[in-house]
Amino acid sequence: MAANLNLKVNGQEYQIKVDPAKRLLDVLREDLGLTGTKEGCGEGECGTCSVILNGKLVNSCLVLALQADKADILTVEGLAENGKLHPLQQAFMKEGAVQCGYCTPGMLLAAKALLDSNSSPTKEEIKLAISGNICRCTGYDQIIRAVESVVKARERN
Amino acid sequence: MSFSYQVPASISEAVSLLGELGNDAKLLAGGTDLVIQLQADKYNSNVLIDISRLDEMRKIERTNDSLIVGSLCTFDDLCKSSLIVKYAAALAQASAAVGSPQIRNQGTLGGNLANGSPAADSIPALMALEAQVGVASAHGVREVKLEKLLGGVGFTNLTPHELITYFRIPFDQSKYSAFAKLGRRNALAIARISVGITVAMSGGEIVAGTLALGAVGPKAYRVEAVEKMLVGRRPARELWPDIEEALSAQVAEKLGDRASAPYKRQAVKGVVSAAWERLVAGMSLNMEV
Amino acid sequence: MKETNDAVGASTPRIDAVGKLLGKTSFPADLSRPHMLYGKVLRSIHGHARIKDMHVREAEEMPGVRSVVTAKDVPGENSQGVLYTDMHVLADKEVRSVNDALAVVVADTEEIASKASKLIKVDYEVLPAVFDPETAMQEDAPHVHPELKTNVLYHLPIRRGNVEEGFEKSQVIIEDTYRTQMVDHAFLQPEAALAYQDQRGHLVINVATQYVHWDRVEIARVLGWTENRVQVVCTAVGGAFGGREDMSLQPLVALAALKTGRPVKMILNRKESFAAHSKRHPMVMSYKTGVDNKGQLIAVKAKIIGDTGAYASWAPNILRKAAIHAVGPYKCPNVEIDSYAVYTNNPFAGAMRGFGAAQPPVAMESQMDRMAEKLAMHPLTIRWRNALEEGDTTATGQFLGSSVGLKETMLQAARAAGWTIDDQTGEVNSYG
Ligand code: FES
Ligand code: FES
Repeated sequence: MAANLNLKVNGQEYQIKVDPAKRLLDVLREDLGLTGTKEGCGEGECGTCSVILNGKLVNSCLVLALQADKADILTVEGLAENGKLHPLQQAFMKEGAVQCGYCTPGMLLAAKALLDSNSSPTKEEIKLAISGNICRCTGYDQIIRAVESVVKARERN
Repeated sequence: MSFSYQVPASISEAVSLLGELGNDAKLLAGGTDLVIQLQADKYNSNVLIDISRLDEMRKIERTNDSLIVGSLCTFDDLCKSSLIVKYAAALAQASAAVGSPQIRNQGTLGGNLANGSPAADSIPALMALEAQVGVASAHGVREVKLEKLLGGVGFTNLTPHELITYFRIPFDQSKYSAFAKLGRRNALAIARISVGITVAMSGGEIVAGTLALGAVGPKAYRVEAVEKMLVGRRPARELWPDIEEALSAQVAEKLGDRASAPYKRQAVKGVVSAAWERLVAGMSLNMEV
Repeated sequence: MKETNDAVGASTPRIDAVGKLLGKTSFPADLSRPHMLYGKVLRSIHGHARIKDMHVREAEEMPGVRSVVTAKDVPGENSQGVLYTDMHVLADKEVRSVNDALAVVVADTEEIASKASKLIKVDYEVLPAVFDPETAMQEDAPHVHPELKTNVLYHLPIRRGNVEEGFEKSQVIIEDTYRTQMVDHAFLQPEAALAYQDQRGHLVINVATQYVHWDRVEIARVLGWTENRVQVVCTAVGGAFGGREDMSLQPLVALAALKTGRPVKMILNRKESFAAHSKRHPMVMSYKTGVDNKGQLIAVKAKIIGDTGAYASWAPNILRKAAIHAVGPYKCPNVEIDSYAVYTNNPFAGAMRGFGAAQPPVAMESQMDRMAEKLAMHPLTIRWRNALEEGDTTATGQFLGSSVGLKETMLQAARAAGWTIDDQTGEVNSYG
């Protein structure tokens, strides 16, 4: 029994019909073609599917698409603006926080959600903010450094 | 799996739907467990009732003697609420110990109870705080002691027509509470042992106390023998070892020859002493103010 | 020349970082093609069983199912493996571990494929299995590969000096057995692959792999094709750590695309991923080590048994490496090492970071600590006194002519710990 779903993703409005069993993750990847959001575990353990939903970081593998009806969603594809990398993206690049890149979209959004609610987080707060996101490659140090560097740059300005 | 999806606009709509459908329907709150079950094809109801956006169940209010906490409050709401931090520290601490930032943004207090997990973090905290649960059905609202609702692994004593709408947490100024948990890592760890504790103080002495254990056996429970030992003590670290021993003996008895028994028997001492330290820290914080 | 100098020691951003940061980089699950179908694997539920019968009819008849691929559909050789082709692509007579694939259901959607795969009925006759490598080495153990008449896949004996004499001269001797567990790579991107035939009729397989050229050899062998008709395209790889060196989905997705004549995508969930790739070898390591009263190693006797599970993968190479690293970075004149790779019915083990060098230190370094303790010696002192330097010969006979940075590393580690080491005696003092 397909139902109507209205979504705003990265500033764009979508209206589609979905099966109630579909997860937000599936709708983003399959129906909207936004494959930047990844699936790593499908059960809330890894955070690769993280998106920002109405201002809150969530695992899109644990949200039914219809639960997000009329929601405002930010995915990794919406971070860069006018062809310019978001400061977090620049910092990730500079600090070597991207290796295989599979955790990267989720990490970026976890960091973004933190900075949106806390303009100068401590290192401990950064660690806590990414504690729902697993990275198997970097060992996290570079990621933490990248977020710290954005915080420092902000504080300078 | 195919089911219809209903989005009631109010609690009364939700309970009347539940009244009609009963076992044929399931409630969707935070979804952090339900969506996994759906994926694993373990879902066998015909209707899914999405209550996740019923904001009337997502409030935290204070009356003269209680906090009224809406069942749809997320763990993030709870650990950031100044009312909860102040009057129900154990619940704030338990909420902060849940899953990960993402899970705390999604998971709800009511869902935690409805799931019937022996390891649910919020339950020992709520139990130590002597919470009552507001349960609505088509026939009205009843208030039940939390303990009464705990069924066992994966189930509660709620009927299929009922909906958890709020938690009532009594407080008074002389009461302090804390929570601690042991997991295999910091984030996303299922509790191996959790403990909620409260003490009421008078003249620097404990006049009453509660202590609830989670993840030891199929459901959380109060340890009355230990609660009695609290009375008449001063909250100093040195007074604690015999209580740790008593708890340890209690856990040993509860778990019998289960594989986890030798480990949990020891570990519970550390967990309870961590909770105790937090409790004492909370007291001194309060006294400075 | 100048450019070269600039590059060395410089920190340059990865060229693939931008695409990954924008969410534009494609991992195999992100790819799609028109008219694409989805494949789901059915795997064994037993560690060892005979397949008496397999009923696929019900699955085939489910609406939306296009095909059920089984061993009968393998046109070439039904075998795969990096060193020995000892693993079936699709088992039909016998399963030897829970890794074994029995069928691939190909359907219009993932959901249908997954549902249909549950309709396949397999009649198993459960056979005696062996899950412990030491048991597997015994005479009367069931053989995982009966044609080999033994479960011992590989044995490397290393002898140097005379250990018995060494132990006689030793002041302290410690003897114990250490076990390490099976470990999964848990790379963050679960396996996925997309296969299709191009306009030439060649098969193109998009997959995240560590071994593109060897994948092609294996796929061609399974199809019975010449290699030039198989093209393996490596997409972005979401972590691997050794876990993508063996075949996982490659031959299966190729067979599915070939049989249906349509593009086929397969995506594993995390649970399936655990069943689809190798693990780190669990090792049983029995050590006897002896030192004189100054802490100088005199003799090391080690028996290392690696559990390779049901399939060889890289086991001989890995157990060779374990043997070479058995004594750690220390000098020792008398050495007796036996390392074995043993088949069991466990999930198969293969490459994983360190490739056999990660496990022996658990045993050897524990021995060092315990000998130091017996001698009332600082744990760093005993290591300092035995550390390999330029011009030394390793315990397994390799001459180290240059670039041995061990002592320098130890000095730095000591400094970080707040210790000083006396260069001559290895005595350790703490400061701060
Ligand atoms: S895929 Fe959603 S948390 Fe792992
Ligand atoms: S970069 Fe590979 S998982 Fe984080």
